[in-house]
Amino acid sequence: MRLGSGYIAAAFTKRIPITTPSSQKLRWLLFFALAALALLVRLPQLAQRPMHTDEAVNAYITGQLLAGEAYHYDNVDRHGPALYALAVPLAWLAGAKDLPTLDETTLRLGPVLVGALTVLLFALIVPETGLAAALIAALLWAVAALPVFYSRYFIHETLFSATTFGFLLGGWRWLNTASLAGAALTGLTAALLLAGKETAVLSFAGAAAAVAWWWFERRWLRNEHSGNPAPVFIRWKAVALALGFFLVAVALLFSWGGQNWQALADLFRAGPHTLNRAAGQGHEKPAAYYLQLIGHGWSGRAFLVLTLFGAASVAVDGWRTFRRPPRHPLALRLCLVYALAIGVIYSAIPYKTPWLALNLWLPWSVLAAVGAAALWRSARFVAVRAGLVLGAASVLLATGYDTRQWVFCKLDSEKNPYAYSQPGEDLLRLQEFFSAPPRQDAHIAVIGADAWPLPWYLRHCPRVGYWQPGQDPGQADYYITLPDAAEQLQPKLPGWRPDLYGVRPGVLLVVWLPPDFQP
Amino acid sequence: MKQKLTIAAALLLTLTAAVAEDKVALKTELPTPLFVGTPVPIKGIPNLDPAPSGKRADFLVPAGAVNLAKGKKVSASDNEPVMGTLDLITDGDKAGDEGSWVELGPGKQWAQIDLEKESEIFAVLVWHFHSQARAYLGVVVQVSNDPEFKKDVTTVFNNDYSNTHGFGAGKDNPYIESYQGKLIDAKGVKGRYVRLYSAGNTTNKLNHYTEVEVFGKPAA
Repeated sequence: MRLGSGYIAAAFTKRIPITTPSSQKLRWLLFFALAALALLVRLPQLAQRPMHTDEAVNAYITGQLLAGEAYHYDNVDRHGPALYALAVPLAWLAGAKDLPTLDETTLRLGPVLVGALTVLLFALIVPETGLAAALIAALLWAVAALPVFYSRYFIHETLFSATTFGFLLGGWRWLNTASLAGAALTGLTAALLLAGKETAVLSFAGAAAAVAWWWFERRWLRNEHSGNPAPVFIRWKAVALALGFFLVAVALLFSWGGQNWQALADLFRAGPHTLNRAAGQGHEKPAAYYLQLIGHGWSGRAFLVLTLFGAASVAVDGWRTFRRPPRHPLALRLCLVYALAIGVIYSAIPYKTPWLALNLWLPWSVLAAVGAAALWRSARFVAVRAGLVLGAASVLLATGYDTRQWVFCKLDSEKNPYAYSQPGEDLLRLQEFFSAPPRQDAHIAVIGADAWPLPWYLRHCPRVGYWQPGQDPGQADYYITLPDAAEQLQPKLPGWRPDLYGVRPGVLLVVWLPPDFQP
Repeated sequence: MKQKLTIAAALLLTLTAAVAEDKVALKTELPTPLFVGTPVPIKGIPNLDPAPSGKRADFLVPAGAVNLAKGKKVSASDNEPVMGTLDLITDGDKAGDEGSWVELGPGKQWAQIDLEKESEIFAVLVWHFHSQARAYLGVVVQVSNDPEFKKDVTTVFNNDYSNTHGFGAGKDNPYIESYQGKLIDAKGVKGRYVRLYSAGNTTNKLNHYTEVEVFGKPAA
């Protein structure tokens, strides 16, 4: 215990971490404790928030795969298979066999576990940031509202963030040590990234900017103070290994273990659709959107201030590289370049959804943690340090409050900045209505251009069909019309009673009750 | 036979004209619309009262009928509203912004206005929440002289088709909230108290009231 407190105290007073075996063990213990905390924060009431449309789509695909159907990569509307590769084994373990036997908790458990395990990746940045900064960054990931909220969401983003982290760590190892293992890890994680989302190309662009900076420093800033005397070599063997791992993993993932090779051709043709989507498709938002979202609330503002401080600290230190040895290692300057590049790229693209903010949040959190640790080290007087402790406690309290507020208390509120087009609890009323025994076996016709997330809420009804507006659904016991299809049923249903349900704020659907309907 | 019919029709027209002479269009001040139609408009649905897009057709009330509810005391099933206070329901402020409405707890709730004396009621105008397209569920409006609503209760509106409140399955149509409010024809029913029920809405389980106006005359 004495060793533990001394170790942590040393971490906050010295930049270079202690690297004895016992301290290594303690380091991992600390990060495992934070991972456990992350799990504790993410696990409660997983089923409480109604399923979002994107979650419903992912659930439907998972249900198909569980039922034995082949995976088909849809390069127009859907993302890659990584999330399903995670969800299917977990669903098997939970005893699910198809869509009707799936539930919210089982599906959201995957991102929860990945979110908690991501904390351990912060242990690997200790050599670059120091223990204190790595612990602060891990703590932020464990408890801050934005990563916690989307760790409880059955979408690709948390897995994508974890993979991005792995990709950057692998890439750094490759650059730093020119090791084959680093190259292999980079290739593998790059494939996982692409199998997560097509936005992987943005992460690759950010990483390319960082590599460009690395090359610039090595090639042009190399002098007696830079601490980077090694010239730049390209090890073609490592490049071939990275490429090999990338291609094999991409082929295996997208073809779903070799079941559908067509997916690879579809992947090559995904570019135009991804570009189309980037143009907005109804999700256009101003350039400052992510900045505002990440800076939401007191905890968000504190996060941004720390990020700016950390970025300034790394940038100023980098500038001094010309004249004297830098205090911060090269990896942090690369992190700064990546953070800036990703921030600019994502902000410049018109298409914006709040979960994409995680891509900015992750590198920014490292800079924020570096900023916090640098603040502490620069404080020389007891009074200043006492003030900083008070400030840190306040930030932690504000973070805890915001997380409780947005993740648990107002999880589907329209005021929740992270809840985006969030279906309300009224869809649970619809699910309950059609789950009642006399109606469960009824023939239900759903008519609308985009019926999601209804297939999730009606998954227990075996006789439900979906039609586009203008198509004739034929005879049914109940009709459900989305707003764009309500008019077409007018002449068909004399005496039928329309009952309104909320899909999401401001969007309603109509359930048509037959004239002889008895509640 | 034809002649008799003509005479009857003429009599009816004369009578209608006479009655109409005593009637005037109900006038109320409308708040600023905060949305126009639903983001994806629902239209052309029979039996669904549409959210009015233009000016609502004049509704005639006897001359001298005024808003009897203005400033009157309000009670509710939820004495500690989640947001706002009960007096907001009759304060004359119909704006859709936060601060203009009271939020009652989830599920079945009612709000009741005491008109202070028995009155002849011709119309009830209700604004639940109009900054977003939503519908309130199980809306029932009743009038009575009994503050407990145990006897002599007249139901003037009931779209509670699933009989959530236990007054029988309602036959009135569901409707989407709008800045023009929901106008309910009370047909001159007499009573001192007006009670409005609801059971959540299509966005959440909470119950909101921005304003309620009761147009009528104190009974002679």
